Amino acid sequence: MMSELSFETYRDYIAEHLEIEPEKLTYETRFQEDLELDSLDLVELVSALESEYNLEISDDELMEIKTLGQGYEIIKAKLEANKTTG
Amino acid sequence: MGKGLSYATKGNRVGISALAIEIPQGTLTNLDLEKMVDTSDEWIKQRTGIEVRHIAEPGTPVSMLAVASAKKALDASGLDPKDIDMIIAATATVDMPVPPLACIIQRELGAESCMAFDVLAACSGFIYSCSLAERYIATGAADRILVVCAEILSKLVDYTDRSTCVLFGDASAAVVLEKVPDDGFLSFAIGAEGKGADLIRVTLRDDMPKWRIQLQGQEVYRAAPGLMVNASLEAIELANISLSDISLVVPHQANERITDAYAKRLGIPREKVYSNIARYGNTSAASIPVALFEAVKEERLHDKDVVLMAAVGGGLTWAASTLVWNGVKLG
Repeated sequence: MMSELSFETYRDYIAEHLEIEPEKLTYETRFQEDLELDSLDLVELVSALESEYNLEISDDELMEIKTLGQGYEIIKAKLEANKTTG
Repeated sequence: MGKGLSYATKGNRVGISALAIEIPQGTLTNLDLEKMVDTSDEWIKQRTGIEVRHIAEPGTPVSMLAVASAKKALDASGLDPKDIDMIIAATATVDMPVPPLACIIQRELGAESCMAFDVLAACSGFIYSCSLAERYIATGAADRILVVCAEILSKLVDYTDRSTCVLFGDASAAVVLEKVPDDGFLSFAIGAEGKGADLIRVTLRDDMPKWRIQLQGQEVYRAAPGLMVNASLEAIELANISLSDISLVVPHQANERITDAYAKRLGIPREKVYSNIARYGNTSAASIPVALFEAVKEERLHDKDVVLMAAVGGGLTWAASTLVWNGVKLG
């Protein structure tokens, strides 16, 4: 299911997935330190994001995703790249 | 991921008529493991959901567990050994590749001359074998088939590798498949992703005299839920039922976190997904039939319930099936 990407829709999707209020999530929020996700939770969240935005995130990229913002930038870049290649 | 081999069952209706398990007495708890490797009860429970595994005495032949469960299932079914047309042994832990484990079982049961062979589909072995048995009976080529899933994984575990030694346990389970008046197995969705072949391996290492399990845990955790969900949705659609028609989901018990992720992505309430990994660990092919047995004992599974089973295993093999549970005699 494709959603129009904005930080708000991305944040809201994560909030729903993690069952947390969206207000608690900011661009700088750290998945492990602030939300207490362990590495398996993060893998599961990234898999859900891959499904939601219909893209693939590599293991290397997964390692770089420590904050909501970092995840957002990676997804945004991929969706932009998909648009230009059609 | 493609569709694999998926079908709605046609022909004679085929169901499970008997089910029995054989569990080794010996146990390995998280506290035991804390003394062996750098790990903790809390970490193991949090990451895998496992508290205890049953372990066979070192040197126990897998045929011993296999035959014990097979005899119990056969007794429960009320069938004579000579009535059995085929024995399929699903296992990744044979003591020797030849003779097939199924032939040893055949000898011990006295099921003279019946077709007998082994299936190696790793943790998907139960569903793979049920599909084979179902098709033979549905087409009328056979009437009664015994499927035995026996695993002694402990002999393959490297108990110095803390990332894998906490995961696996030993068990055997056997089912008899026969024609049923109606319902029975409704559908199967079965396949494999060979590009994931290196993620779960049992290999001979130079520094060790025996075969050892090696697992890319993170990658398997990433791949497994999606494969199980896709297979499950395919099986549900082919069965012409909806998610809400399913009374109980019995997934392969690999890791509680995988089960959680699978349930979430499938969109089914977690309470409808059966879990007993805390008591057994991952018993590969035996995992689903042992879970079915316990689900009945715990009154989570009743006659006329629609069961969804799903698995992912080394290969990566994957499989799902829907079945109407009815009149199963427990051994």
